[in-house]
Amino acid sequence: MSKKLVVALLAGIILLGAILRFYRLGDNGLGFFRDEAALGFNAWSLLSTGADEYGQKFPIIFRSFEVFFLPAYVYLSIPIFFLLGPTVIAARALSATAGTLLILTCFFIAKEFFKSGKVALISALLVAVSPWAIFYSRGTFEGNLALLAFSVGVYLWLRFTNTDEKKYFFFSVAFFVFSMYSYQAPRFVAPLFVGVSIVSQKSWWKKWRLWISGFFLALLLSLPQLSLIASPAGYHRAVGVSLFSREKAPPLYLVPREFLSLYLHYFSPSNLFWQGDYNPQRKVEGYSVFYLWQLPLLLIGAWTFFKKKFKNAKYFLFWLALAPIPAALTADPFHTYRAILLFLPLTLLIALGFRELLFLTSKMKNLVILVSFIGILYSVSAYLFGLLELTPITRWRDWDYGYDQVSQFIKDQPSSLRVVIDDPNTESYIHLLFNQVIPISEYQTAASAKVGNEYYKTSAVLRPEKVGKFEFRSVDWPSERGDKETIFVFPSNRLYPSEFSGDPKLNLEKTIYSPGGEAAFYIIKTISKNSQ
Amino acid sequence: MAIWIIVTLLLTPWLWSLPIPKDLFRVNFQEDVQESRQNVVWKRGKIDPSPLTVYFVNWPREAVNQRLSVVLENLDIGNYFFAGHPRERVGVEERQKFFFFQFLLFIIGFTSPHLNKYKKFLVVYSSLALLAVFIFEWRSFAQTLPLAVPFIVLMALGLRQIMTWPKKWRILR
Repeated sequence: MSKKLVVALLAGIILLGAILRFYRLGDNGLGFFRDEAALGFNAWSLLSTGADEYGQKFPIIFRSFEVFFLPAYVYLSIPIFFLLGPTVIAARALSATAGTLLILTCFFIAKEFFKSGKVALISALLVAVSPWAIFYSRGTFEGNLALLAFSVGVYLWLRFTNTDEKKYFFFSVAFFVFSMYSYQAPRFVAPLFVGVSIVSQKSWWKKWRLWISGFFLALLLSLPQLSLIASPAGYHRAVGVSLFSREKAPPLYLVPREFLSLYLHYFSPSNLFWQGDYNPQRKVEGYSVFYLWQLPLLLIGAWTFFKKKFKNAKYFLFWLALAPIPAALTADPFHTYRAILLFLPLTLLIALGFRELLFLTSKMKNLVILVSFIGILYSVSAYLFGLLELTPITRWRDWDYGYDQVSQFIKDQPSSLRVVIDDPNTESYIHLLFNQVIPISEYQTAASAKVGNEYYKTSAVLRPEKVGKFEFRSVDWPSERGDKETIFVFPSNRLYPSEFSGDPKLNLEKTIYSPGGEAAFYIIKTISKNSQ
Repeated sequence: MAIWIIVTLLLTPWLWSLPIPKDLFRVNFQEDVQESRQNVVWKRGKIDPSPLTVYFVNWPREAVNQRLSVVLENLDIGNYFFAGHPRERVGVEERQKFFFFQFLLFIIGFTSPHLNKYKKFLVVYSSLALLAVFIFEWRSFAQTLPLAVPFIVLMALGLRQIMTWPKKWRILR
């Protein structure tokens, strides 16, 4: 295959990947989840006020809903918000861009691992069209950025081992550290991967100067994070979701069994090709992480991988084996987001299997390519249909659907009205902040008064339930329905229509409907004495 | 090899209760098609009318998917070694089929030099068993018993392999 043809094909694949990621990025029909709003809003808040939602100036680790999240996504989103303003597209654009760049990175990684331009092209194509890659590129997922950084780190590491040029090693370390600023999983996997990869080299101790230099570089780059490692901001997320933090944590002697069952779950064909994530928010109707037709290709790929001894096979195996560990150490079954680093090596194996299939069927290669092309086209179309048409019907509630319409309605109301949002989790405030309903400075003042000096120091709920005329809390409807001059916003599963219809003192101002036609929100206004 | 198979069989809790598979070959295509049609009607009723619906939401796809889900369920290692943990299935009684330690034997079985001798049998038998799962939708503890065969063979190979280890050590000495 000529170089020009490879470049042209790769450009075409990247373009296809970009279309699949950016098409209807701002309006996927599902909604805009609170975690997305938190990442997006904090970027906007930093841009417009120089501080986050708590009034904290340029934090090292961000705090939202008592969950601490890493800063890279927020800081890198600032220029996008500068260009696009506080929009859903702006919040998701970085993830979509990272997902598109991952296609190119995957091409180079595959080339380094398998020394085959064809496998590299197939890998790029598979990343461009894979359900997991499309899904995580179409939402505000900082893990997608982490995956890109980690993959670039792996690529540079491979370049280093193939050329023995030290610059690649230092750049590789820098990218691994960057991935640790993007998402929690690489904080565990990246140091382990580098450590194991170093120790696995022949006479590795002879290069001790290089390793020590790399260690100090990593240390230097990690200093801001390390300064918080002993505070809840540094460890709360890892400890909070771990296997041992559950109410019914397994006894010590059962921990290996528990861990192994969770770990193997990440290699289960049923999970990878059928069931998908246990959390409905990360599920597309009818799809899992990969397409079902990729299962035989994965098996062929694995068989080929072990049959042909590739030079850098051990690094590939380290990546494959280490990637699911952070997810398996948490109590949740098959958490695709925490295991996001796993899916790229699996995709590479699928690509290897595809190449082997073409080799095995070389006599009818053109037919196989044609059938594959039609199959991929159908799969992608069906996946998009599932993602954009079916999933919004079944998963809208898991995606906080309707808060943009709630926000728009509140904006149009007289400013004298009190607004109470029925939300036991009190997390809906972030949607109103993102949609510019609550003035940022007003929220920052209230939140910073509440959090004080405890920003990094505690994971307790330290955020205001009331900011000016806005309240976010559980509503005690029987006792509050008589309040005057108030707008109540109820998710439809929190209040039956029979509880407000027929009351002359209440007016159902608006019903927001879900994509499937069910009521999503009831917005009720209490009628003042003067207007009675 | 026979002795290793017998030892493995004796170690396997799946067989201790002497399960007798019931309804192994019962199939009701008519009922399945009807159920698939109903699901499709429900889905199509929810989404905006579109010509694409015919291609992406249709009863043959729905019916095949239902059966494929059972096949994939049976490919899940967790259902054999961890009694369905951490993702217990709905409508199936999750029971211990193999012990946790037998998983090690299973993995070691793949490294056995004698595997080549059984490779064809394992591939053909497993394929046929999965085809049967696809057609007859075997899910229960007793129904899936035919699927134990490849596991037993691999574990026996693993056990046999382990027994060669001390000999190797003796040679090294």
